[in-house]
Amino acid sequence: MQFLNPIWLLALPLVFLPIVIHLLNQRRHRTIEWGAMQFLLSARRMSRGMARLKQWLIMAMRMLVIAGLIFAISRPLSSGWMGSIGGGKPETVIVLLDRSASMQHQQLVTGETKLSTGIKKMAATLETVVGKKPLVLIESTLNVASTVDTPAGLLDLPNTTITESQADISAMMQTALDYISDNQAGRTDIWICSDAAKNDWNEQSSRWQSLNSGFSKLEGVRFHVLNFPQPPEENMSVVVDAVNRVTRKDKTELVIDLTVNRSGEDHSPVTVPLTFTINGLRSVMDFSIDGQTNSLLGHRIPIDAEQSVGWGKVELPTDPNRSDNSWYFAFADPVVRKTVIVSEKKTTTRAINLAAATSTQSGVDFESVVLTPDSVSEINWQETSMLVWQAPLPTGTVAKQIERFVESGRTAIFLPPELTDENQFAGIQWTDWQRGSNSREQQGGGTSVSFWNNDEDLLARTRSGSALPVNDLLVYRHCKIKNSQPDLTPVLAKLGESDPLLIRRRSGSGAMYFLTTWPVATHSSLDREGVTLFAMMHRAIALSAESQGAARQFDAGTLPAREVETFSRLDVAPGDEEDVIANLAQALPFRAGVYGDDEQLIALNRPLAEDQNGAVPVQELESLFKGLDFALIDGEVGSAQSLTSEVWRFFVALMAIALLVEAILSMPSKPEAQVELQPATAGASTTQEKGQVAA
Amino acid sequence: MAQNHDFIEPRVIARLKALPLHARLPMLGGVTGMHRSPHRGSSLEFAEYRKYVPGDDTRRLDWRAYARSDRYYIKEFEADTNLRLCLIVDTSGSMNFNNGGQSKLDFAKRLAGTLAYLAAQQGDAIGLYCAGKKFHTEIAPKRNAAHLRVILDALGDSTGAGETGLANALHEAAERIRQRALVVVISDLFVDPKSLADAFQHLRFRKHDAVVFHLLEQSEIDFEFDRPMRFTDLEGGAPLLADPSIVAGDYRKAVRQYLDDLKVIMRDAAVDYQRLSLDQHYGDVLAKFLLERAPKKK
Repeated sequence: MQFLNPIWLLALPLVFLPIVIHLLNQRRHRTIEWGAMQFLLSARRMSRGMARLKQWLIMAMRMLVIAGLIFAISRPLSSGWMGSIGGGKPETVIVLLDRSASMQHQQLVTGETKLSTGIKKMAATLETVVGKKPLVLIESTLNVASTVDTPAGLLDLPNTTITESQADISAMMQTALDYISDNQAGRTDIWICSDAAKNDWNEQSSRWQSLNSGFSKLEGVRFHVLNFPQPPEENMSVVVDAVNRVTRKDKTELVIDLTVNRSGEDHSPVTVPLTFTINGLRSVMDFSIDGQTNSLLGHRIPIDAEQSVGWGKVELPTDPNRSDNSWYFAFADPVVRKTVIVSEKKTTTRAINLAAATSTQSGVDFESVVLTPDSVSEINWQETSMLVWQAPLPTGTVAKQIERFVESGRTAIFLPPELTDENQFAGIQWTDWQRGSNSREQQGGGTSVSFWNNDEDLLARTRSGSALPVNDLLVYRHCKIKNSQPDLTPVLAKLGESDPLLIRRRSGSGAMYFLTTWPVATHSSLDREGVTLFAMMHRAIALSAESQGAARQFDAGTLPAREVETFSRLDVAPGDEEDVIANLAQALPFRAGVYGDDEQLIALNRPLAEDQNGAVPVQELESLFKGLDFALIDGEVGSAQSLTSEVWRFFVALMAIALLVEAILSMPSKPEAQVELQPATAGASTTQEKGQVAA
Repeated sequence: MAQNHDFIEPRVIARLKALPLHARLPMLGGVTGMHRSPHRGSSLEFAEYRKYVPGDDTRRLDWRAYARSDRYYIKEFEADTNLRLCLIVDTSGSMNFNNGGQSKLDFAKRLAGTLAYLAAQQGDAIGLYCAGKKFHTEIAPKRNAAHLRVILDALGDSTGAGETGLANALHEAAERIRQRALVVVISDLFVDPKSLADAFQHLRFRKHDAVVFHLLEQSEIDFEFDRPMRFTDLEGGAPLLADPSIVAGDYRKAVRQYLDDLKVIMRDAAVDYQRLSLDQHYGDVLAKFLLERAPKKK
């Protein structure tokens, strides 16, 4: 149980005051000379039962009265989870707010989302626990510590509203740790409001270990995780996979591929209205879905032939999760998907060259150019969609050029050089080539892929839901990696126990991939089992293409604010609520929507990882906070029930009851008839008669 | 009157002088007195006729009755005799109890002294037995003026100490007082009521007219204390620390039971039982007692 005025608990020993008074009273006895000891002894023998029990009960009631009084003025707070906290008011309160898209899961009746419910509960609780004192807010979009005047202020701040971005809870924890260390925050309560989504928490990251050890060195830091792990029931999400502007004869159309996913237990066929909005014009089509997922391929919507640039969105009806009901896109004349391959030997990247040059979309040109490391200067970075680098890792000017290239939203894939060196790029260094013990030459088999991430990224399942044949791959030689920043480079595929096959490093709105083998027969079966390599290359090219041209696609939250600071939101009418939020500079890169200026359009959408409904299991959450003062609070979406409330009234009532019982017990028993000493005669009336008889 | 006989108050004596002390049972005295005797005597009070048997004094034949019935009847008259007043005063330690005023023993001395004086004045023999655990003063009944002084001196010298052995003392008195007597017991009777029952039955068996002045103090009955008390036993027993809030109820219950038992015992043994409070004036107590015992006019 937590107390708002725990200092009063120091008075708890006063509970024993009745006993002390009783003992003092016993010692303060008077001495009296007494003759009628026989009655006293008899009374002492008799009073060992009920009277003694009654006396102890009275004593207990008096102790209860004092205890009730002390507890009442200590202002106790209710709720079981707070019982583990103990202690009094913290000196600093830090609120970590997960504003990721999945926090938009709402209760349809009240319209309350996980985020709004969590904020209200925290505001109410903190108002009770710390009063109207400032607190520190670290929210997931900016991940910087800012001060909020009062807990109630959380309800009105623009940076506590919903976004469609992804959260990095461990990074927020690091910010909190830095804040505490820098400001010597003293006894600190850290409140984390989140839905424990796996993609936000990334519980496998080794950063958690350093966070845990960092926090364990601090004294008086307590964690309260207000957790909303419940997945939305009967939820549908829509993702637009591709939008192409196609001109055939005199007809110009947008060709849209999209996928609708459904969660929940009901898999019966259902028809939902899909609303398409193209440049502000709406059209609705009924879309049937049977099972968990269904795709709409090649949906054509006629547009004005002269309209080469535009935007649109696809919407589903309202359901428990608002964030995944719409998808924005922008379109323009397709750019040439140009892949530049920098390779020491053309043979090592021949398969990549073939895959990258193969067109997969009608009306879109795919090109691939192979350069030697010496001719890097010939690269036209603006026109390049994807870079494949099979050479010693770049340094100097080239390295900076590649960094900028990736930050602008494009993709680079690095393959190991023939001879490894000590060059480092993005925290990665190629070390030694490894030949598998069961290499092809010796035993006719190579090392297979022990793990790969088929939920997202280059090795994700296909649109139809079937996995890529990654487990058919065999790797005979691979190059080991020295990774100085493993937290930032998740492993997408792993060979054997520990060696990675493919890792990713995000930078800006683009990504770098490091493939540890070559797609040649002596090193792997990537070229022979061409499906996986082909899918990887085209997915990487598609990712790059989204950030090229006049119309670009990005995940909300991945675009630097400076790139869109002159943009305005196009998909909402000026002045409405969404527009007001959108126009707040901070919110721009984090809200899904279409933004643009005179030259280009940007469509921002939720990261697809936010559609995964997996929550970090409680055991794993607890293991992240192992050894720390940690309380996990299960929240319920839309619940108005307060996390805590003052329960002093209970103790006052208890005190009143104890007083009443004490009074009843102390009441003198039924008054006995007074024994009158005078006159009392016995035998007087009979004496004379008996005397006469005797005579 | 001796200087240490301050428990005798002339004013009270003067008030009670007009009230003779009567026994309720016939007494066997050595001289003529004012008490009924079981024998026939020569008083003016006609008692009965009985048939003449050879050996009877012919002077006592009622010739008139013979003339009327032609039978011999002896006319008998009541015999008046004196009585033996045996005062048994409890001098155990508990008799020292007082509640800020006089002690029970002081009260007992006043009662006994005044009764002795009144008895002596009407020519009765007076004896005194002071009983602690056993008799420590034992003065056999005698009727002369000097004897009163001895009695009063002994009363004046008596002090309360030690345990109560009243039941044994009464048994002993029943045996030692050979002739019928008016046995007046003045005590707080803080002994087992059952033992007292036997003792009084014994006195009754010996045809003594037993009177009990039971001395109590109201505080001993009410037991109204507001804080824990250490009770020192006046009879030398171990002291006792008790919280009145715990024991008061049971204490009163025990007292009530004791008094009820005592009342039954006294009634069964035909004892003239007088329960007294120290608050009462002994003169009033004695006046009431003497009036109650005065023979009713026929």
